[in-house]
Amino acid sequence: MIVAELLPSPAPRPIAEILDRLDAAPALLPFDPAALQMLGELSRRILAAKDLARQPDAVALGYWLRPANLARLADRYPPLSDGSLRVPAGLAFHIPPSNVDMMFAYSWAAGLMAGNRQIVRLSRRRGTLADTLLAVIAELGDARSAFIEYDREDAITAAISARSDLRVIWGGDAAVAAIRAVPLAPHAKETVFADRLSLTMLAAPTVLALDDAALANLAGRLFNDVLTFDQMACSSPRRLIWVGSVEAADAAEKRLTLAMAAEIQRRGYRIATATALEKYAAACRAAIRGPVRAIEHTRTDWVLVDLGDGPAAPPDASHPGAGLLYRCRVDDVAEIAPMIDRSVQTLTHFGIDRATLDQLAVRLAGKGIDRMVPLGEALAFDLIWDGYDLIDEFTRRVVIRP
Amino acid sequence: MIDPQAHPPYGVPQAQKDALLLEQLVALTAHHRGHCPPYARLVQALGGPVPTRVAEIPFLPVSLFKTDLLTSVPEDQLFKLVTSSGTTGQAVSRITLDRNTAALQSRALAAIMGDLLGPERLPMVIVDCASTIRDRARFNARAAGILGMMIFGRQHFYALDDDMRLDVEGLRRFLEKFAGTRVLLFGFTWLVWKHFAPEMAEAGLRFDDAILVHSGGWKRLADEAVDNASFKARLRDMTGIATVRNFYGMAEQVGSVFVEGEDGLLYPPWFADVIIRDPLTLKPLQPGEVGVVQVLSLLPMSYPGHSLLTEDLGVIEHIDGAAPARYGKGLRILGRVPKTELRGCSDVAAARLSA
Repeated sequence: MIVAELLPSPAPRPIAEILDRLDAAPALLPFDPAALQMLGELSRRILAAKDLARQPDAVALGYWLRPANLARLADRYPPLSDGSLRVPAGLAFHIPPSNVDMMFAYSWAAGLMAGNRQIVRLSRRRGTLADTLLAVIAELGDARSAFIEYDREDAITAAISARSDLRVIWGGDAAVAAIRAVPLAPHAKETVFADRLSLTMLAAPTVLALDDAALANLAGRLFNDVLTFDQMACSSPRRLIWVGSVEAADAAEKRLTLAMAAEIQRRGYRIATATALEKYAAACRAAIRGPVRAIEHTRTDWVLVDLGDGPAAPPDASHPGAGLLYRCRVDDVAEIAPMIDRSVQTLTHFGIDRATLDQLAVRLAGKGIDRMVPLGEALAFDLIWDGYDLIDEFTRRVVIRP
Repeated sequence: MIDPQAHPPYGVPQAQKDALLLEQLVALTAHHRGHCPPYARLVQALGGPVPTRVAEIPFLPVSLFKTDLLTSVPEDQLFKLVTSSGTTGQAVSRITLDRNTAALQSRALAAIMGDLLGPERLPMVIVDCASTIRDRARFNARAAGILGMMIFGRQHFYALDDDMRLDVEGLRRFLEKFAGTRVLLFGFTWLVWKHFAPEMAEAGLRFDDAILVHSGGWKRLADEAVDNASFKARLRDMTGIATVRNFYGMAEQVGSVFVEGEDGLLYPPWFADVIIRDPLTLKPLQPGEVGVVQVLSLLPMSYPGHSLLTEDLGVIEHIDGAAPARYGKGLRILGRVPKTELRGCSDVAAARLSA
């Protein structure tokens, strides 16, 4: 069985040969200085590379990996109080998504922090940014990793899975289902990131109180959350919830919509005609299938489908991306509870205080929402993702009792 | 309800047509709001004032007929369900017709084809195989199109066999029998181009007085870089057919087809119209500006298809510019809006793993 090895040395290669090489690579403990040094070097190179330093998502990765942040992350995992030792899971097999070019690097970097030897299967449909990043990773000379690509072949996935200690699948649900059907070694474990949905919630009075500069700043952050990956990232909000009176919500929405139009113009964001038509069709389909108070379609690059007052969900889960938000209004944050289920990943918030967020989390008690982060940070990656601590997921513990 | 034969198809100047269409389209919108609750919800959500211009009539994305059944007739009055001829695996549109709308469509087509072909029925070649319409299980827009056109000809001859090869002997006999008589041909653009014309040339058969009416889209011809002008020239070369008229129509608005005029532009008849819209704002564009094609028709009574936003790009070249022969808008269709692909979380490479 031959796969295309992309790193360390680009060539068609038998998968067994790649796995043999990884087996022979020396082990590291979590947060080993050598691993952190390598990631810090990657950060430096990303931020210095002309073609990457212009890309907000590449810059975000670069910042996440800078030495000061790596030290902060490492500090979150002090020696265990019971005296047991954290050790890497072993060989980690990563299957990242194709839609977010940087994701493979986050998955791989977290695995490296955990000390694993790693094999990363890249999508053939990855963007050029992924290849640019791969070229930078190549300069690091990481002997514990292999980056490969291959066509849909369960046999290859099975061969890798049989020798892996950990399999990491970034969904789509269809991808998760397909890969889960391929057996793992009996002792191996799997970490899965399924299709998720994200929301944004804004306090209408707070938006109304903003001066123009602060409003423009808010629009910029909302742009980043929603449109960075054409709204196709799981963390990008697809629903917008106003908290406040009907009058306040309507007035705040008018202000925000104008500010968004200006921001979209300023950033030069353009959607294809086909996407514009799909968005208009999705909004109309929602109205045909269920109660929709209004479709705001002055511009097809920013479409709001108003589901009215009270907690409300669109009639189906299909979503065209690229700037379409289902909008509703509540008087009180607690009212959104019925909108939340296990599929909800991120709630970005603006103008909502800590105590209210705490109350919401307690009330939901795990029913849904894995992260509540300030508006503008929807796409900011963290070692806690989808409710899981990736270091815990990617390591084991050795109990030592004298 | 209107009579499509009340005026000559291209006999109503645009200003007069606008007034006439506005009144009828407002009435049709009200009719469908009253009879199709999902449509009523949509119009409500789209909001806007009572239309004072045709451009203010709400427009439905044509793709909705593929995902949702939208009908304004109770099931017991359903006369026919027409589906669009999507390729295998694609979603198809489902259009519900009652007798009334089906009759309107026939009268409309008769008005348009009468204008093009004259009062006399001509011997007719159908550039397709007989089984396309024989197989009722596969009854789709292609079959409906053929059946709709057949009444404008006589002595029908199917030019292709079931393998889509030219019936050379049959066509030879047809040509001998009708030598010196004007002949009508009808077929889908791609079939004419790919399966009919080259084999005619190869067999050395020619028409000396024929008119070809064809439809079905230019996508695959555009892929081969064949435009309308080269299509006509090559066809004349290969088959001798001197008069070739394209028309633009769709399963969602059967009957109100836009036939090509002498100038190569497509003309909506008086009971139909076209508006070009800006993809960003969905506002109407001026003649000469390229945008998304919206089609309007007074025929759809049994389903809310009187105002549809298509997935085609087009441009209006002039208004009343070909009068008095043809009043109204002269339209050029520029093809389908190019498909785009936004990559979603569900598009992980491995999604195709077990496909």
